[in-house]
Amino acid sequence: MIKLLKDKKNIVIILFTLLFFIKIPQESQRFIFWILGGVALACLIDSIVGNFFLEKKGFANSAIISGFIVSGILDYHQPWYILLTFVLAAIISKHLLRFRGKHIFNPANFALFLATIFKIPLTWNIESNIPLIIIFGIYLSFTYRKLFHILGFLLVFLVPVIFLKTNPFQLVSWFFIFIMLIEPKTSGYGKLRGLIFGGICGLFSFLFLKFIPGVDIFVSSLFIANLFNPVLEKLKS
Amino acid sequence: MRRMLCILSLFVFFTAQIGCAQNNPADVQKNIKNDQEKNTAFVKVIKLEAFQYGFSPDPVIVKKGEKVRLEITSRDVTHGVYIKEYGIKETVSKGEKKEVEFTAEKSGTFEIICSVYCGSGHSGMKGKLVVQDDQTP
Repeated sequence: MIKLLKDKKNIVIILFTLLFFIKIPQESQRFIFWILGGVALACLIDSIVGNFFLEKKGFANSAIISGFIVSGILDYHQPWYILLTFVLAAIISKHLLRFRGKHIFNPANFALFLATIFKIPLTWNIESNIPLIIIFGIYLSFTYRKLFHILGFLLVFLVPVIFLKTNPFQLVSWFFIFIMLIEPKTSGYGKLRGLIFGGICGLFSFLFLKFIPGVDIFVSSLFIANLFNPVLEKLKS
Repeated sequence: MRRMLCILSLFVFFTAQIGCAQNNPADVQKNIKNDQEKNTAFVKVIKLEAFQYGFSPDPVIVKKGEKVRLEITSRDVTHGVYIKEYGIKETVSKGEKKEVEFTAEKSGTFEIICSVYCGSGHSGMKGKLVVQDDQTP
């Protein structure tokens, strides 16, 4: 058990499972099949890609996480091929869109960005219990050393939102901040990089909110912040 | 090379899938226009207000066959109004008013969901559209 919990990805999976079970009573049966289908598809696609292209066996834990995020945020009333398409996009992006051996984009976010571009509704059903997300999130951001990412985001996003006469704490997505923003491989490490990465995300979230509110502001801003990764990598080195 | 081929085929697959799935806005507009021409005598106007985290009125009740105009406003932040079965997908910010017209041809109860992230209760922001049959008391 302790060995299981040593891998932070397993803690994220436990959190998602809890959030999934909390949401079940509020939704129809289709929600259950949608989430389980998303996770199963992600694992299947990841193992197929691994076996055929990378000569790796099995699937990575991160595939389960991507499956949960994509299916948990996409509207589950959509046709099944939508789920298949965007889970496929997430996994393929992880294996193909790489820079210096690391994937550039947060895989699930890449797929969700495509979804928001094609105006597929994102209902964020997985964000079913905020206190739980915050408790797990604080632990994860501390152990992953990502507190500066969160700080950068909050500073740049929350302050200007106050001037829009909106309560910024009611508008912010804690699931986004504590899970998606701090994804270990695509958000980088270090105080300065964390502040810059979070700041870029916060800035674009605000700009989307002000000027293009029809798109998902968080998913779109993280996509843009990920685009800066090659530059941020160079700054570090 | 193999990687490039994969990216290319994925892109083509995406474009084809999503392109087929979406309603062509021009067609939707054309249908609305045709509907308007057919029946301009009576339109039921419903002022639908979106707020964190619900819709007012809820449920929206109309009769089957009725021509309905939703006048959508937002009380607080930007919201999306999405009714899958009627192909309604609209975004409305505070201070704006968006109008959507449709003919209630399918009877039943349909979910109205918010399709734009509007805060921590976004996933629970739902309403109902009830289209009653003539026989419904």
